[in-house]
Order: sequence, then structure tokens, then C-alpha cells
Amino acid sequence: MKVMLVDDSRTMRNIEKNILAQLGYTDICEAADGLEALSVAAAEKPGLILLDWNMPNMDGMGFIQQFRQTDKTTPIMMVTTEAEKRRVVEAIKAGVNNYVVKPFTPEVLCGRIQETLSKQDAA
Amino acid sequence: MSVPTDMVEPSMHATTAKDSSYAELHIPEGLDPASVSDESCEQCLKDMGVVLTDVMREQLLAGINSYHTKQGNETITVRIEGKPAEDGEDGYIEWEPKCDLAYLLEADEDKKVDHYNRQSYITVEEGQYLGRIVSPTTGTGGMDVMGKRIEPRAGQPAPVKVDDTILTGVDGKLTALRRGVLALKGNLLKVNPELQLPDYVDFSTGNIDFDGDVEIAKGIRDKFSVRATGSVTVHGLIEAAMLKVGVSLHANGGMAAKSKSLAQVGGDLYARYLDNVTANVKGNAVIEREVVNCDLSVVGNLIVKGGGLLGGQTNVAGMVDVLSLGAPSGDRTEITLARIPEVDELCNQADEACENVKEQLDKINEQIGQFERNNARTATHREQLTELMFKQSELQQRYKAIAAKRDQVREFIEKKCKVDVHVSRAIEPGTTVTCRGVAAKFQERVSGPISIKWDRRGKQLVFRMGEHGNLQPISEIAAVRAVF
Repeated sequence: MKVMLVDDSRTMRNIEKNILAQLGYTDICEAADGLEALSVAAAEKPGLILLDWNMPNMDGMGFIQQFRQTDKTTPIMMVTTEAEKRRVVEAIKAGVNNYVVKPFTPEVLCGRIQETLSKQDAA
Repeated sequence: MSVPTDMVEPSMHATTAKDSSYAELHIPEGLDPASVSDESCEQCLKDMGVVLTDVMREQLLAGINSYHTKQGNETITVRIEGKPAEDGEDGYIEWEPKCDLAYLLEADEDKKVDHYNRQSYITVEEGQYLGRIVSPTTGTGGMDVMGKRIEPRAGQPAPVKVDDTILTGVDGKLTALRRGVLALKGNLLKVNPELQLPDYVDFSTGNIDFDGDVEIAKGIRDKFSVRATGSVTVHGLIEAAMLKVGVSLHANGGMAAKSKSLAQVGGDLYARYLDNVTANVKGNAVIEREVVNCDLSVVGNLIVKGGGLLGGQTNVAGMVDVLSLGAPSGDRTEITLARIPEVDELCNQADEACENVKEQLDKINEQIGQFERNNARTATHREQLTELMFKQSELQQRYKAIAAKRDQVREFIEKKCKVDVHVSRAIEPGTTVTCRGVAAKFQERVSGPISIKWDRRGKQLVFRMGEHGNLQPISEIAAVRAVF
């Protein structure tokens, strides 16, 4: 399965990439903002998206709103510093499947990824 | 004028060789050329029993023409030959170039032969094509001038037989059925699983590098090397050579190396004696006589039943059973017990690596603590903290992995290492026995039998005189000091 990482921080994408590799996911595509993510997603058809909220050009919410118009099923995990409850609710309403607040430990992100994918499998 | 009674009218006549391989027609000068016709000549030969073939007729006609050309003024002899038999060719082996012995001694482009690295044997792989046995030919029959057939000599088969290590296929194709050394002994061609060298390893053989067992009938000369994945047996003396042996080394003629050799033995070492040898032995070392001035490392047991350990440095992980320890002259003899230098080195490296990771981890923990103490919770702080937590997790995993390996190695050392020394005759002055940070130096001769062991509770070396003596601290008979 291909996983798309959307974050303007290369360091953060590398951290996510390493954690995914530990879980056995090595087929990765990347985007540095929401706009780029839309075109990468169209071309690469990822099976899971890890998405930052605050990014230049188009933020995470902008991406979700456009992406969900055509794709209702691909699971999206918001990985963000936005920790306020209203933000979480807003994201979930927009179509996010899981939510991880930075800072996180590798164990936490691993757990959430597995949780998200098993929910997807069950559905 | 009267004609002498002994004068005979000249006439042609024919003779044949004893073996009838040719006939000769003698035509004397002075005959009427008209009387020397094809028919008369043929008849002369036929009268001798010659059976003319077309080829022979041509030879005859050429002679007659020559006589006519000379108008009968010259005697000529026409030789008519039969057809000789063509003997058959003997069979032979048409070798694949790399399997031909001649290939071994080829010089390089500069016409130089590297005598150290020349190869005096041919190794083959299972299924390798070796060459083919070419069958003998029967030859072609001939015919003598009397019309009798001449039998050809048939060629002899190639003087070679193969055993069940080589398959002889269609057209005599030879294929190795196992891996080994191609050997032709007498008429028998076979693939030996082991390499047998009938003489010394020297300039006649070059260095030996063989996957399997090697047996050397004589010794190994200075500066040559032998590498074998199996066992090596050397019946003669091993001089200052390099040996790398996968399994066991049998040095039946001993090793005298002038401190310039290195023997790495993957299994056991059996030797008549060792003199100035550096050797690493993964198994046991069983030496018949003395071990003199050697740098020896033995992972298993060291047994020198018929001699002593004189001079040098010896590390032994297992039991030690020797006739004597040290030299009566008081030369320095050091023996370290329960030690495998390579493994100890691994442990030290693992300890260093653990320490290094721990230092990095402490720094990361300190940085994380600072963030938490300062209650830094901006987006940038959160991302920085995620990064630190990831590094922290990575370092923790690395630390666990290294520590686990180190513990495995320590467990191995603990299982493998014994402190159990038996000296039958004596421990000589100048001998130092070191074990687990304790060094006991003998300044006086101690007569045996004596045993040395490690007292786990007291963390000290102890000894026992004879079979049933009490265990006593080694400080009673040697000067003890701590070593690191």
C-alpha cells in the first residue's frame, strides 16, 4: 500500500517515513502543501494520507475539502500541532478519519496508523 | 666373328620385394623399343605374380615412356608400389582447456611465472565438463603388389579409466559428478574430494587455496600459505607459513615458525609441538610436546600432555592440562584464563557503544525536559519536541539492541570459559597466571601436581596441591595483584 505524507517540514516527513518503515510501509509519496498533495494524490492513488494542517499555498483543511469531493474513502490522518477540541471536530467533520496531535512519540503514531487501517479494513 | 658363348641377349625381367610391397621391372639398354610395349611389360610382371591396379599401371607406363624417350639407350628400373595400409590413430583425451594439466604452468604475458601463486592442481565443480575421450580409429587397409590385402594396425583406446566420480557420456564426454580435485593416478581419472599433495608446499605447488580438506605428505615451506575450508593435515614440518583452516589442523610434524607465521584454525589444533607460532584456535589445542614462545589463543581446552608451556602469551577460555608451566630458566610465561580476546574485544566495543548511546540519550532527555519545564507549546515547539521524541525512541531502541547483543556475548563467555588448570610436574618462576582481573606471578618453583581454579565467592584464584589437597588462595604461592 502506498502512503502519502503531506507536510511542509521535510524533517517531519522523514520522521513519519521512518515510523512507517518500521510498520513495513515503504512505498511512500510526498507533498509539501495541500495544492501539491492534490496532484500527487491524483497521480499516485495512495491508500493512506498523513496530513499536516498548517502549510503554505493550501492548508490541510483546504486539501480535505477538495479531495473529499472526489474521494470519500481513502483514510486521512491529520498530524498537526492544532490541539484545540473545536479544531479536531472541524477536521473530523470535513472527512478526517483520525487525528494525532504533535508532539507525538513514534509509538503513538504507530498505534494510530494501525488503528486507522484496521478500521478501514473492517469497513 | 664368333659370338662368345657366355654372352646372353639382354631382356627385361621383374623382381619383387620380400614383403611384396613393391615390384621392379628392369628394362636393359639396347632392346628394340618396339619390343618394350605396355603388354610385354605387364606380362613380365604378371609372370612374377604381380596383380596390376590402375595406379600401378600408371607407374609402369611412366617408366615405359621414359625408356622410349631415351630410345632404349639407357637401362631403367620401373618401381611399382602397392598401396600401404594406413594405421589407426590411438585414442586420447581432448581436455577442456582449464582442465588440462599443461594449463597450470602457463606464464603470463611477460613470460613470468608467479611461483607463489601458481596452481599445481585443478579443482572442478559438480557438473563441470572436463573434456572428452576421443575413440581410436581402425585405420585403412592396403594392398601389396601381389594383390594381397595389408591389414592396418588399429589404434589403441586412450589409456584411461574413470571411476564413479566422473560420468562418461555420449561421444566420450567427461563430466565431473562431484566437486573436488581432478586427479589422474596411473590410468584412473577421478575427482578427489580432498587435495592430496605428495610433497612440500613450496615453489613446486605455490600457495594452496582449496575448498575442502587438504593433506600434505611433507611440510610447508617458509612464506607459503595454505587456506582450506575443511581440515588440513601436514605430515612434515610447518615453517613460517600462513595457515587459514576452516576445520581442524593436524600438524603432525610440528610447527617451527620463527615468530613469522599465523595459523587461524576454525576447529581443533593437533600438533607435535609449537615453536614461535602465532595461532588462533576456535576449538581445542592438543599438543604432544612443548609449546615454546608462542602467541596462542584457544577458545576450547589446551592440552600439552607431554611437555610444557614455555614462554610466550597464551589465552585460554577452557580447561588447561599441561606437564609444566613456565621455563626453568625463569623466562616470562604468561597465561590468561577464561579469556577469548576477540570476544572480549566485542564486549568492550559493545560497552563503548552503549555508553555512547546513553550519553546521546541523556542529552535528548535533558532537551525534552527543558521544553516541558518551560511549558513550550507553540507549533514550532511541538514539532521540535516530536523530532526529539523520535530521536529519543531511536536511541532507546539502539541501546536495547546493543545491550542485548552484549549480554548474549557475555553469556557465551560465561558458558565457554572455565578456570581449571592442571599442572602435573611444576610451575616455574616467571610464570604469570591471569584471570578475571587477578594476576598471580610465581617467583619460586612450585612442584606439581597442582590445580588452579576460580573461587566465585571470594573472587580469587585458588590452588590445590595433589588430588585431594585443600583449596587455598593462590597468594600463598604467588604474588597477586589486580590487573585491568
